[in-house]
Amino acid sequence: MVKEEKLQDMKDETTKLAEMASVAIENCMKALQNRDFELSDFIIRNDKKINELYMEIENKCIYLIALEQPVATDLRLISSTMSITNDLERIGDYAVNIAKINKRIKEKELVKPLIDLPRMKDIVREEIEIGMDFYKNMTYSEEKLQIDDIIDDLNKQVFNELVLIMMGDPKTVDQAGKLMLVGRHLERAGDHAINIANRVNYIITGDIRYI
Amino acid sequence: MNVYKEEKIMKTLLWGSALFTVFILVVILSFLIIKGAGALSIDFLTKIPTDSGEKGGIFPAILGTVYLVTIAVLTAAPLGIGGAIYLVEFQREGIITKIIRFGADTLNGVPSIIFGLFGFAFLVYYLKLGVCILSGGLTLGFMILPTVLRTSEEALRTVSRGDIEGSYALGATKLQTIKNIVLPQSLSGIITGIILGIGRAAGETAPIIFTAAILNPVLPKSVFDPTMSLPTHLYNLVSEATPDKLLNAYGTALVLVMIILITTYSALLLRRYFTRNIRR
Amino acid sequence: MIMKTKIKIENLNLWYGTFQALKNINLEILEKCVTAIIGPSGCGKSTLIRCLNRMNDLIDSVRIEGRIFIDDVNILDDIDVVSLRRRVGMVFQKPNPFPMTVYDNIAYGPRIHGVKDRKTLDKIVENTLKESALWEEVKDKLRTPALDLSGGQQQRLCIARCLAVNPEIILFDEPCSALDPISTGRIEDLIRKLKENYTIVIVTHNMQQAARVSDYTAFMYLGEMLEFDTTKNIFTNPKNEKTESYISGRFG
Repeated sequence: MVKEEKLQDMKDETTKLAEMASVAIENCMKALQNRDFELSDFIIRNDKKINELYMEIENKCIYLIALEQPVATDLRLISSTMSITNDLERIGDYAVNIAKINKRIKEKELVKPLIDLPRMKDIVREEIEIGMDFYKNMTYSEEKLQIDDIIDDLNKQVFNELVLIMMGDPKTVDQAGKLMLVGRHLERAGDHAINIANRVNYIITGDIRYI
Repeated sequence: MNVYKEEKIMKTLLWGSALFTVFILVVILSFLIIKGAGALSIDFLTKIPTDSGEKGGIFPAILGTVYLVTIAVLTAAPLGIGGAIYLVEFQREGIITKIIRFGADTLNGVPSIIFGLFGFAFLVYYLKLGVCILSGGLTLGFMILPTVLRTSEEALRTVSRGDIEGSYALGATKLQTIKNIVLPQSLSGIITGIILGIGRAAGETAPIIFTAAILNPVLPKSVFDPTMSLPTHLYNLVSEATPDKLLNAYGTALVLVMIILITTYSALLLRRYFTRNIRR
Repeated sequence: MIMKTKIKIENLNLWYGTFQALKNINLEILEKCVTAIIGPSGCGKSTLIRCLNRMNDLIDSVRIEGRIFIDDVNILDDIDVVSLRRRVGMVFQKPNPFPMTVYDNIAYGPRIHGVKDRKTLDKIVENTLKESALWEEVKDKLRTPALDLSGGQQQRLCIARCLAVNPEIILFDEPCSALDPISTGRIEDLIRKLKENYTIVIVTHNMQQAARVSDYTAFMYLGEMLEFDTTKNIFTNPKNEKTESYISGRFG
């Protein structure tokens, strides 16, 4: 039997990682909106900490498996935590990508005011929160995950909008392409957040379709 | 003949052998009771014999046998138990233990008359103890010593090694371990050995004929006096068989058997008392 | 945290007659840690820990070379074995409570070391039973025979009996191999708790048990110590191939 404290410690660290990833997503978009390169640099630097924490949790999970021989729910919790931390780390990476895009756009004025992209970011953060809420309380509800459809719709909308802008003025192609990527990254980050929620369902039910 | 039948026949035969043992015991006991019960009376148990055993009781013989057996046990028990403890706990298995064990087994096989002869030559003459209770008791003690030693050894070997190691591991010395763990656990086996010894010592005639027994119906005043004893008295009565003497002989035999039964039974009770806390 | 070395084994060799059971063992055991010794049957694990309280003295034809320091004193020298065994307690494979009452079992050690006072003994019995997590179960049964307890309780009683003489080190020689999983779990919890106050060495056939309870693990094979490291390293990244095969269940 795995000691409850050890599992709790693992869950707490994962929650901390989720907060860091969520804050990184918030900040990368704030940096883009405010054209704040310093904040972008901070996000890139700070990703190291996210990676370190990710490795630390993964290592803890391996020790738990090697030393405590978890079975059943404990085993699903620990192995799923490893994939959940992986999702969170990827979300952190997307934040870094967006921060880098901000720097590559340089001082140029944005081709369009940012409205849908920040909305996508908010939904990504909400999805992380939902996933982590499931994880902490070991609950699951499929309805709450419907908001992911909004991200997909918003992404398509942003894409179409940017295609129109590119068609109107070839000089905007470079920047508009970059903003398309921001949409794409946010959409992917959202998918990872959804993965977290589904993983929790696997922990609860043991149903491998949710892996 | 099928296997099942074969087994049934075997079982019946074996059962028969076992029953036969009990049968003999019952026959002897009933024979003694039928023939000897008539001789029993309070006087028979408490009076001294008169007319060379034809009349009177057998009190000096009872007393003598009790004395002799007591001395025999007091001699054999410490030596036998001590030797057994040495063999089991102090001496590593090897040539010395083999010699001791071989010696004890050989001694066990020596005819009792030889013990009598030895007692007579060594104790009575050489040590000048004379024909007395002490000489007889010691001779009987030597005779039952191997029995006590070997049964005690077996008993000591059955003590759980785990308990002994547990005791040492707590920092107990050898003596503490023997006293607190080994002896309490083997006591029942040791007592069994002593019971066997008592049975043998009480019944033997040959070793005491030359060393302790007299025919004069006098009560011994100390261990340095000779004494009558039940087996020798019985022997004398039977060898001069007149009807009265024979009746008294059966009575004597019955008393002897009763004494052995009573001692055995009380020793069993004692054994149960000592082992009341030991359960395995 | 700087940990103190409690036991230091140097170049230890041991022979049973002509058979060499331990080959040049070197090992440092840290104070207030649990050190597990694992390895296949007959690899010398039990022999090794039996050197630590000189239980091998009881066996014929044992010859030992090398040095074992406990707090910088070589216990293989001509030392007082009785006081050594008092400092180094041992719990055996098969629960071996003495055929006495629960109370007398625990009082056995203190009594042979001269404690006579009734009140002191009562206190020792209560404290050690509490320390070994048995008090609640047996406080009303102190006067019943110890052999009436269940196997797991008997083993905890043996641990309590060992604690009663105030040891510094406790050796466990496959303490759970005769117990069911629940009792095993209790003993393991107890071992983890005891390491706060005692240095613990445990020999076990059960690798998972070593993984669960120990801080350091030594792997022995055919009388040699092939690997010694933190339990985490041994079970996630062993350096020796033999260790890896053994803990993966490929042999042994």
